[in-house]
Amino acid sequence: MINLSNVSKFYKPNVWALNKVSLNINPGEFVSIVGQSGTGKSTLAKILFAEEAPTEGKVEIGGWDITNIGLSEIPYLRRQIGFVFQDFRLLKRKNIYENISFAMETCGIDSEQINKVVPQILKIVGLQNKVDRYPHQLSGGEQQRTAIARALVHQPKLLIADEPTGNLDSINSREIIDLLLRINKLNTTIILVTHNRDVVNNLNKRVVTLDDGKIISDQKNGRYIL
Amino acid sequence: MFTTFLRIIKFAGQSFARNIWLSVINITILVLTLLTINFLIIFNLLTTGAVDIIKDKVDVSVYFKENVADEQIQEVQSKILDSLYIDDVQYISPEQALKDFKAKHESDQDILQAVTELEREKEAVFLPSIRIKAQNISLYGDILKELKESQYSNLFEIDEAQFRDYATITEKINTISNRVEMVGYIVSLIFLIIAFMMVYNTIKVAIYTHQEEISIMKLVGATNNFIKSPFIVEIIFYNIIALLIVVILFYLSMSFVQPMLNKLFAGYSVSVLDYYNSKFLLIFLGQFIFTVLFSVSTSLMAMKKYLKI
Ligand SMILES: Nc1ncnc2c1ncn2[C@@H]1O[C@H](COP(=O)(O)OP(=O)(O)OP(=O)(O)O)[C@@H](O)[C@H]1O
Ligand SMILES: [Mg+2]
Repeated sequence: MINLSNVSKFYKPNVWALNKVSLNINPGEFVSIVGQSGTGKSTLAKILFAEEAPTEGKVEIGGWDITNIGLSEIPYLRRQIGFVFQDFRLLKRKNIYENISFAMETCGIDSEQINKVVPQILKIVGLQNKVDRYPHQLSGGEQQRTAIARALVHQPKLLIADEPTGNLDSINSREIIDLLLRINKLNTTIILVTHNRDVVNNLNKRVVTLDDGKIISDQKNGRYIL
Repeated sequence: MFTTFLRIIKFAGQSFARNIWLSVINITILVLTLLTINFLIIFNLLTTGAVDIIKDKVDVSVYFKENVADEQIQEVQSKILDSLYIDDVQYISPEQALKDFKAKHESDQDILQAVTELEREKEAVFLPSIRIKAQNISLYGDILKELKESQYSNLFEIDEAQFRDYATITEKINTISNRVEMVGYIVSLIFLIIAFMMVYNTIKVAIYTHQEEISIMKLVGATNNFIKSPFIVEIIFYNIIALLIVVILFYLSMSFVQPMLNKLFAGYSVSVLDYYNSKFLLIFLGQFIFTVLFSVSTSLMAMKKYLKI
């Protein structure tokens, strides 16, 4: 499903955030990407999301070569990938329901479909009883679940989460990881970028470890080795 | 497709309301711009109207000396008529001239009395004359020359005062109108520059106030056109409202001004209202298209700079 070959990313003036990274991820996998700060984890995620272009190498997602993706094609790539950040990025002036329906509205999905899909997704993330709450009325975990719900509106085949538990305590973190596992079971490939040793060790899934822009370990049922 | 269109309108309306004061200022500037443009059109209409009227009033009169026989007068008249430049030649007998004169001064008893006195003494008050109208205002020079050089020139005297008056008056009108138009162009240019800065900064502010939404839209895969369109539609809203205000202001003010103009140009048809009515679409649609093209390209410039998509 995802194919990186010899991908490098150079940032001016003098940083190689990624250095000849080759990585292959199959459909339905749950992959954790770990590594110390500044080792290129977010850069890798951004390249998959076409927020950054690789300096060298080739990137393929679902058979689509996005190495030199055109500006006008990026939206259609993003409709197939969900993305979740550490800081949730919800719209403060919109309630949970509106945050999710807004994402669908802006992509031209008709209202009937929106009214059908949003409650289903809210049920998956367990927020069906809080639809009219605003972000400031939610716990961090609930906010992150809303963000995940928003990432699911296009029923993506791939969900990338860049430190989704970074702002959460361990109980809320646990909930989010459980949610990601459930989504993974619904046949969505998950890429989880994280710093959290416990999270990784409890998962017992594939772990890719980055150091200084290079993959230094890739284990099938991995542990946090740093 | 239609859903998308409605959503763009909705987002544009929300943005319009969110920055309501910016919207009001933008509309005001656009209204002022359109008003100066219309002022120029109307002013032009009135000055050409005035010049036309003056042109229409210009003629050259030839007064025959005493003792010139009627046959000779007729001969001169038909000779003049032969000339290429002439539109019309009118013979005015002394009796007719007297009647005209009395009619003109009917309220001035002193003058009437003096004339009646002269009449009683069988003095010739007026001489026969012919009044010459040229086909075209620029031909009077040639006509005057022809008359002066003709073999009959010793039979009459030429009154070219009217013609000379015309020349000075039209010259005056032209210099004044040129000056006013110049000022008008400068003022509309200034308003255009202000409109440019306003629209540009409005887009900048709108992008800034919608930063979060825009980043979410990009995140979830909204197309660039969908992200840009509400801003453009908002700018078009401004233009529509500004145009409506200008049309209303125009017809409101014309209901006062046109009667005044009718008085001023009595007997002549210089109707700003008729002109606008007959060319309503051309004038107002033209202005609308102009300001829309102007402000939409301004907003595209601003978006290119601040939207980074
Ligand atoms: N836009 C940028 N311009 C210049 N350098 C950048 C830019 N983005 C990232 N970098 C550099 O690239 C390297 C990798 O950054 P990246 O964000 O991928 O690290 P990370 O592994 O996600 O770190 P963290 O765990 O702290 O989030 C860092 O040295 C960073 O300073
Ligand atoms: Mg990072």
